[in-house]
Amino acid sequence: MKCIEMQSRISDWVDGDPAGMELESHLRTCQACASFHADVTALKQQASTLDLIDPPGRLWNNLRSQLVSEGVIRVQAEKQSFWRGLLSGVWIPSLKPAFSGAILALLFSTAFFYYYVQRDAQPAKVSSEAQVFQELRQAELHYQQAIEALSEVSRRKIETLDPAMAQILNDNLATMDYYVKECQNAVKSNPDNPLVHRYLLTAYQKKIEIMQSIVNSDVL
Amino acid sequence: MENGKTLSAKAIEEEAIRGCIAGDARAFETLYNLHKRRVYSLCLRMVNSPAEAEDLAQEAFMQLFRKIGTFRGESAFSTWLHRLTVNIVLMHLRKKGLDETSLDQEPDDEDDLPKKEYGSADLNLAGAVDRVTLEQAIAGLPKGYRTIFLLHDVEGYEHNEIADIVGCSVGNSKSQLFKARLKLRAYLEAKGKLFEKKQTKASFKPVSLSNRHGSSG
Repeated sequence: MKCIEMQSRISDWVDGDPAGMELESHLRTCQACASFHADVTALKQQASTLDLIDPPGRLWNNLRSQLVSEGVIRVQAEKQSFWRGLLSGVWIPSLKPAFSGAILALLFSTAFFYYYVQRDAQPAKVSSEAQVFQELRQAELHYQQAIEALSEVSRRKIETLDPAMAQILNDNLATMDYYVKECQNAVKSNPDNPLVHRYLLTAYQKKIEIMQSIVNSDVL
Repeated sequence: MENGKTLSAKAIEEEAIRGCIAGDARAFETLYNLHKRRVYSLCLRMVNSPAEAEDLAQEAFMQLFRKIGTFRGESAFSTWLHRLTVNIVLMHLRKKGLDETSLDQEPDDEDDLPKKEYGSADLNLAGAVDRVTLEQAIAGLPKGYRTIFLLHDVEGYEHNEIADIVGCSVGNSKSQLFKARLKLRAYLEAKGKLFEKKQTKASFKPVSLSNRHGSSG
């Protein structure tokens, strides 16, 4: 019997089939087949120790959504915060620009609302420039402390996510950072304009809400 | 022999199956968590693409949950799930028309086998092959060999179970596994640095047949 045929039997023998006299005598004299036996045994042992791999977290979310949409499972309507619902949209990478855009649109609409309402309805309120700046600065400090307190926890939470998801969330937070910076510059250029003050504070507020959603969300 | 932990896991699985049949959302999540790693790992190793593996694992679980009411418990639940998963992956591969080595192909095509190894020196693989290299070697196998090798040597299924899962004969499963091992050995040999080719005829020791190998179960 040729070695190739013997090695086929050796492969079976490694898996528990009986050896037989012919195989026994062959292995006593054939180094190549003895080597094959040792290698296959090692290969099988090593293969059995390969690690199982965790799927990305979004797999269950996608699966669950599909199960619900097909009516395979029914879930009770959960009370979901606006921002958590909004955040869940960023699981879909293609919605990333829409997510960031929606935040900016919300900020602009809020600011314009205040601008038009306050410009038409507000009698000329007189407050000293110093007092306005002091109030703004206090508010800024308040928001910055909140952001500082949340940043470490949210960073750690993001680190636990798969890289693509983490990238999306970091990009969204960076978008808010950029917006805060722009508003700060606008305040420096237009210190008397209450609109840019509100822009700035709204930007801080929205960043905090996003960070809170990251920290609190059980979806993440 | 089942220990307490295994029995407990089995009890959890059985309860989750009952819950799924009743449409309990939490039961679906429990069953998913019990099997997600094995299903995803199998898909990933079979297709070598994380994105495709994710889609296929999702499809496997969707089919599982759609059909769970038909599970009668004649076979182990994990076998049932693996059969379903393997079928989905094989169907996917057939659609893609990738490296075709049919699971029904008879093992008489010697052109498909590596040429070097029959008389080659001892590769002395024991303890020498790291997992990353082995993963690469497995990824390079034709799909038929890869499927059988994954199910037998990685997942630990017996040939009769594999025959049931992929729909081939026991003999075919054995021969495909043998070819897979030959190819893997040839690949690992080509990686030269992993092997210590020190063994010579002088140091050759015959194999002791009393060293009976147990199956992987």
